[in-house]
Amino acid sequence: MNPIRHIPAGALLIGILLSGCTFTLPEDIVDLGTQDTCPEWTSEELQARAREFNHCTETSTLHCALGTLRGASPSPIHRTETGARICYLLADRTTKDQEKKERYAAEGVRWAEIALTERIEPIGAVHYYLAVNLGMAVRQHATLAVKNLKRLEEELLKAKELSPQEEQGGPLRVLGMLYLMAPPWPKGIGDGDKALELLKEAVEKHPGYPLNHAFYAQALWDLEEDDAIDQVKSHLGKSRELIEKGDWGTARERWLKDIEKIAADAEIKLSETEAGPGPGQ
Amino acid sequence: MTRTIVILFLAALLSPPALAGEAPASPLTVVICYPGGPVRATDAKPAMDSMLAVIEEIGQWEKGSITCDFTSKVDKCRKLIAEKDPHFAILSVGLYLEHMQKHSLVPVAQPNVEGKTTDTYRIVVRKGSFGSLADLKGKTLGGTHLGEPRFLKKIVFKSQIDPAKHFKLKPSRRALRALRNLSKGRKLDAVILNEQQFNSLNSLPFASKLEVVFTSEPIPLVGLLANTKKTTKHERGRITQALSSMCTHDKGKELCQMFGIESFGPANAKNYQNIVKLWKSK
Repeated sequence: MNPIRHIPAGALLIGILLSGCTFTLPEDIVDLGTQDTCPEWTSEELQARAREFNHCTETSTLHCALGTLRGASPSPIHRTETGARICYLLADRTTKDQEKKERYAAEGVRWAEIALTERIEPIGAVHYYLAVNLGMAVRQHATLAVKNLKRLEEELLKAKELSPQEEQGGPLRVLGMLYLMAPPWPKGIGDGDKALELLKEAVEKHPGYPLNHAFYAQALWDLEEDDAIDQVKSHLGKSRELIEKGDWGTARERWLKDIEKIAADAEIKLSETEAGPGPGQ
Repeated sequence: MTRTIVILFLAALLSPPALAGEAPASPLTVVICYPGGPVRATDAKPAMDSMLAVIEEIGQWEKGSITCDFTSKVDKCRKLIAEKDPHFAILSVGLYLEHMQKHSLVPVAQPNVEGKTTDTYRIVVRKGSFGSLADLKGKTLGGTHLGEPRFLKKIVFKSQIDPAKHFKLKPSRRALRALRNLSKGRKLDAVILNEQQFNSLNSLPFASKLEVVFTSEPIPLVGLLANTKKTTKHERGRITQALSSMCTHDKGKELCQMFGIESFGPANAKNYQNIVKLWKSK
């Protein structure tokens, strides 16, 4: 069975229209397998249900949702971030199969592009999930990644302006990390000061989200090194505490590994970190 | 940045085995070091893998017959070179000079970046703050090129000063951050820049507040180094030839453009004689 048949005609058209863009979509999408046991959601039901999807949502549920979306006739749901967000949740948790991860992410980009084309007014969440999916799709491909840096920045700036609160400060967090990781001046958009500013803002505005602390700790270590070691320890400690106390579903183990890497880079023993006094300290 | 471009680009180029269609009996080893850069080994890998794929296609080389290690830390680089005693290496000029004798390293291919095969270092200060190197004695020098004090002393300053004693060194992974601190009079009294960074100063809003108090002689860029005791003349020639045709190949051209490299050419040993002499001087 060719899974592409599940893509609505509108999506295919957009795909063709976008073929001249910098990002090149993979030819195939992930085969979701049998959908026999999936609930028969209407687009409206799916849209309502999808708002609750997060890292704790079962993969099978996300597959059902994505399958429903693929098979649906063009409807209001295609003008929202729903498809891009489902694909992001699936791509993010796919850690052992890079090709599959990129296919989910590329499909997420496609759904976001459809939503942006169909809508009259901008929607920040669509820009955000477009960017995070695009980032995951191109990260392992150097030339694609470099070519798409500017687009990533533009999408995240729009998301930051329109929906800075999406995914607990996601636009601030991801834009901050983009500035931290991108090739630096004079040839690239990388900018350590901007990175620190955004990640500090993410911590201050959304102190309950573990990755905000983890990424701020990483930026502090990258840019200040030993001068900020106490802050690095504090934010890594806070991140670890939030991960261990919260219910983060499939993200828990990935995030713990992430902060272990940051701690190892800074030559800090994670077990010795303690949550600090508060955000931005 | 010039070094980043060259190092990341060459990283992939080195990965194929030396003989087309043949895998060597044991893997060829390459050590790549980018001291002081903001690139992590894990982050550099995709760039290397992407470029490797193109080179393998160009040269029709067998995949996976070479091992490659990357680091942005000077100490780790020294350790890697000692452990691996690699066939090929991509190093900073300082690390090349440091290891040339023990590991029989010679430059075999040299990049041309933005029309030049040399790099020049400059020290910038806030206008009117300091007039010369002597005035900067005891002051704080920042920048991304401070990880190898011996290279700075012997090559950049030609032993006129010992930067480790003359300045308080504050290495940074990002030049822009150091320049902003300098322009605001925060933490730094001077910043050392390479050619590419200096040439881009005018893109910064505070460029007019800065001025140059020191300019080094042009220093030849080091591209691909070969261990002459572990590689054959044929192997070295073949890799040099592959590099030389890289930037005119369809896919290779795109990569060259991406990294700002115009071309590669065979390295001329004469170009390095002066810095080798400076390095060995007392």
